[in-house]
Amino acid sequence: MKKESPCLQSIEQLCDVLEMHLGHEAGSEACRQVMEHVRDCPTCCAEVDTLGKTIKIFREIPTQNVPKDIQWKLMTTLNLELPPELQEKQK
Amino acid sequence: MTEDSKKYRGSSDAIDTSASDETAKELELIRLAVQGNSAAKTEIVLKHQQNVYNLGLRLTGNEDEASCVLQDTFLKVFEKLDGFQAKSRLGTWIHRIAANEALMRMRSRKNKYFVPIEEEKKDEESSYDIGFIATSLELDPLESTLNEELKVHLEEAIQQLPANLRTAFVLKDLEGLSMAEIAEEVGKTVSAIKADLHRARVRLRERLVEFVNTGSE
Ligand SMILES: [Zn+2]
Repeated sequence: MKKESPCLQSIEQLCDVLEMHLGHEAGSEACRQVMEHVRDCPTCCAEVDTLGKTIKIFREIPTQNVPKDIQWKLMTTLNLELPPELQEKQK
Repeated sequence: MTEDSKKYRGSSDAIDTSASDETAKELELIRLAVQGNSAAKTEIVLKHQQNVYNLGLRLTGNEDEASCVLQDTFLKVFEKLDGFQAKSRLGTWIHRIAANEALMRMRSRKNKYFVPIEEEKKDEESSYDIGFIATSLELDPLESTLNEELKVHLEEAIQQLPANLRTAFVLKDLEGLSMAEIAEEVGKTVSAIKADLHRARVRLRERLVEFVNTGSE
């Protein structure tokens, strides 16, 4: 394990704890024990917390609308009727 | 465009209370589409195109490639729709096809985009102060809605990851696939995916800290 997380045994363990921290998984018994340590250990806590924040922030990046010309190409390829807002381009 | 498009896929599937209604509607839509009903097909496309396009865009980092992923995905969707077994939601199934298409595209230009593992290991040992990182990430811009500048910075940061790290991060943290699904998709072990994912997260955290400490001054 890298030096910045001296208490966690492996990257795998850190990943599992993060899953639990983010609420994706209830976590195994072993994982819950590690989590208890993480809560009391400033170094581990900062590691898990900042990685968790990073994930959450990146997840907030909004998705983009499909550009009209790409949508038009798609509908044409699929031989489907174009929605009204795309029909102009057909001419 | 679709109400689901901004949600984290994993959680949107898990906490859907009106799931059975939705499933029934979806099955009817699929039935019509399989019979060749254009309106049903169009509805499926309009509902899922944004997710597919964004997945393609994030994995390939390129609008043209994303457009190809979008087309190839829906061609395949309608080709295979009659064999779709409603074990998962349609969106999940389409999503998996899209991920497959995008990964195939990435592999086909691997010389340009797949950074050899040795090369990317170099900076892994870069030392950092976790206290400093923690303090940095407590700062304000991160607590509020993403501003435009930060958004651009983050998108760039994802694109600058080596392809294998980007794949793990996009599929797991943005798209909500399970580690096992990703491992199967890219042909690696779950441990290897976790290692890629961790490296991606650490790098993206660095970029975030960098933005907080310099970019937003
Ligand atoms: Zn610790």
